[in-house]
Amino acid sequence: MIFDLDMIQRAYSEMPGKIAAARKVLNRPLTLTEKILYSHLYPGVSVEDFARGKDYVDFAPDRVAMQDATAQMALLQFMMAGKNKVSVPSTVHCDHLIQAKTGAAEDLSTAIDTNKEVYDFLASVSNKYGIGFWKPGAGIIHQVVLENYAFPGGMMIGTDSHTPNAGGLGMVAIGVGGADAVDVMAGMAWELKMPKIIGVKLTGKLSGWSSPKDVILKVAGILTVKGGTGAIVEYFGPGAQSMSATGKGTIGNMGAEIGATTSTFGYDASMSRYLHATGRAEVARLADQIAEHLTGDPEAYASPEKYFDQVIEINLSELEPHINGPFTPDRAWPLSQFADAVRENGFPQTLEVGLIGSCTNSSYEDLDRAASLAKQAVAAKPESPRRVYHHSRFGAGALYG
Amino acid sequence: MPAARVSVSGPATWTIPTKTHHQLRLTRNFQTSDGNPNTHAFVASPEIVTALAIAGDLTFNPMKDTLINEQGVAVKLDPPSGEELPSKGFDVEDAGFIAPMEDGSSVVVAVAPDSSRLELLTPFKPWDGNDIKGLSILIKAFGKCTTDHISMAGPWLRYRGHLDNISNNLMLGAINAFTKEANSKNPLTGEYMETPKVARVYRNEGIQSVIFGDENYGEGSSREHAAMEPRHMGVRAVIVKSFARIHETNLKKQGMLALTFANPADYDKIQEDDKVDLMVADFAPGKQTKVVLNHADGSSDTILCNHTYNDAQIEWFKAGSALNLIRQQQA
Repeated sequence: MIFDLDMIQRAYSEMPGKIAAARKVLNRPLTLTEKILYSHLYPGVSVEDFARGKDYVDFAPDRVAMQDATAQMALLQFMMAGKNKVSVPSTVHCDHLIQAKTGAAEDLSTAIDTNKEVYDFLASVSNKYGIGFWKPGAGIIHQVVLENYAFPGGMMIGTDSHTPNAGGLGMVAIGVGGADAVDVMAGMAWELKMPKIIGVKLTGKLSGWSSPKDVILKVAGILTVKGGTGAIVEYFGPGAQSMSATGKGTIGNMGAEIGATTSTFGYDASMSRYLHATGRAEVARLADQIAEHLTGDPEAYASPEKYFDQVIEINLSELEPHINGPFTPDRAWPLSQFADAVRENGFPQTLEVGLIGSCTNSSYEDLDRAASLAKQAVAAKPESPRRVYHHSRFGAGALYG
Repeated sequence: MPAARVSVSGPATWTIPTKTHHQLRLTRNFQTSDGNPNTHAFVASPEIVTALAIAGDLTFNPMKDTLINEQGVAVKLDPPSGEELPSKGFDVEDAGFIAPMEDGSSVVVAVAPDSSRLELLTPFKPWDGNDIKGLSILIKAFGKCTTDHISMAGPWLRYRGHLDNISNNLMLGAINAFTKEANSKNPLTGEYMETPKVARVYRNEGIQSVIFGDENYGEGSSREHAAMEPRHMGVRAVIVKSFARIHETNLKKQGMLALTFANPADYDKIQEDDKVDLMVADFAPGKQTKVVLNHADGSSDTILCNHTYNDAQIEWFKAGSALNLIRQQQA
C-alpha cells in the first residue's frame, strides 16, 4: 500500500518549476537542501535569496508525524481550529508510552492497560480528522515513517527530535514541538530560520567492521554536540551512494545529537531499492523521472566550499569503527585507540549491558550484521555468552551471543 | 594483548532500560539513559556493540583480539556480514495501521470527563480591546528561567494532555527575585508557597496576573505547555529582559502579551506587591507599550516595553489565540 500517492505526484509535478524559479533568483548551482526548501515555500512567499542563519522563512511541509506523548496536546489544540480534516497528511504513532521491561508481548499488553484512555483518545481524534493511526505495537515512529511515508525531495515535520531519520530517503525531515504540528495541520505557515548548510563529502566505501553509524560518530566528533545547530547537514559523494537507505537513515537520525536541524542525502539507487522493498515501486518510478531535482547540482558537489557553509570530507575506505562517550556523544574514539582510552581514563573495563535496536539503528541490515556475529559466538562457544538486549519494535527481547 | 575475559561484575550498574523512550535517548543523553549517573554509557554501531558484549570487555578490539572458547582455544570473530534488505521481502502480518474514516464528522472524540490525563480544551477568551489594569504579579523570576522552570517535565508529563492538571506545575522551578527561592506570595494570606499553588489561588479568586522575567526567558524546549499554562491560570502578560524566540512565538499563539523591557534596568523597578497596568488599547506593530507599576506605597513608575507582534500576530492576540482566529475564519 502506498500512502498519499496523490500528494507525492503533485509535489513531484510542481518541483521542477519551483526549483527553476529559485534558480533564476539565486543564480547559482543549488544544493539538495536548497532545492527542497525552495520548493516548499508557503503559498504567497516570494522567492528571494534568503540569508542562511538569519532570515525567517515560512514553509509548507508535506506531512506531519506525531508520537503518542506529544500528540496529545497537539491534537487537543487542533480540535480547537474548527477544521473537519487536517490540512496535510498526518499520522499518530503509539510508541513512546510503551515501557520495555519484560518482553514484547507482556510490555505491550501492560501499555495498553495503562494507557488505554490515551490510546482511545488518539484513535478517535485521528479517525475524526483524517489522521493515520498506528496503534501500539506497530513500531517506532521513525521506522514506520521511513517504511511508509518518507519520499525523496519531500519535507516533513515530526514531534520528536529523531524525525531526521527520514533523511535516509532524501527528505528534509525536522523534529519540532507540538505547537508546530498544530500550525501545519491547521494550514498555517511553518516558520524556520533559513538554515546554514554543512556539506559532508563521502568518498571511498565502507568495509569490514565499519558501518554508516561510524560516519555519524565521526561527524559528531568533528562537529561536537552543538556544531550542527541551525544547520542542515547534506551528505554527498560516491561514499554516500554506496550506503543503504537505512544506513543513511541512521546518520540522519543521530544528526539530532549534533544539534542539526536535519540531515539529508540525494536520491540514489539505494533509495530506489528501499522503496521497491517496502512496496513503493511507484514512488521510485516517479522519483526516477525527476531524479536530477532530487539531488544537489553537480557543480555544487564539485566545488562544495563555494556553496556550503562548511565542508567535511570523510574517506569511508579509511574510516575505522568508532565508539563515542562516555556522557557525551561527541567524544569520539576510533576503535584502535579505544582500549588505551579505557585504561588511561579509568573507564570501567567490564561491559555489563549492550543494547541494540534503538530507533537509530534497527534496520534489517543492522540486525542481520549483528546476528552474524552472534552466530559466530554461539558456534565458537566462548566461556560465558553475554546477553545483548534487542528493542526494535516494542519491549525487550534478548539475543544471546 | 591477552584475550578478553568475560566477566559479569564491575562498577557500572546498568539495568535494562525501562522505557521505549530510553533507547531513543541512548544516543543523546548518556548520563541519564539508565537513570544512574555512575553508568559510563557509550554509543557504537550494532556490530561493535554485539562484539564487545560477547567479550564483555570494553577494551576488546574485535579487529585484532581473540576470545577464548570452552576448549581454551583462541577464536577471532570474522567481520560482520548481512543483507541490505531481506531477499524474500518483509514478512508483515499486521502492520498495525488504522485508516481514518473518509467523513469523520460523526466520530465522537473519546475523553472521559473524570480523566486525570486528558481534558478537552476550552477556547481562551478574546481581548476586550481595552487597557488591562490592576494585574497582580504571579512571580518576578530571577535568573535562568527555561521552559523546564516554567513547566517542569519528569512525572508531570503524565498530565501533558490535561491542561488544568499540568498547570499545577506552573513556574514550579522559577526563582522568585524577592526571596531568591522557588516560591511566590499567597495574595490572601501573605505566606510564601510553591508558585503553582499561588497561581491556583489566583485562578480560583479570578485574579489576573503578570509574570516578569530575566534574560533569555523560555529557552529550552518548544513545549507549548509553557505558554498554555500561564494563559490557563489567568496570566495576561509575560514581561522580560529578553525571550528565547520559540517561546515568545508560543506565547503569542496562545493569545498572551509577550513584552520586553525597553530599558532592561526597569526590571529593578518592579516591587513585589505592585499592581500592574498594561496600556494596550492602542497595541500596534512597532509601537512601544506603556506599563504602569502601581507600588504599594501609592507611588508609581511608568515604563516602556517593546514587542515584536506583526499585524497577523496582533489578530491572534485580539482573538484570544491563533487557533481562535483560525476557528473564526472557518465559520
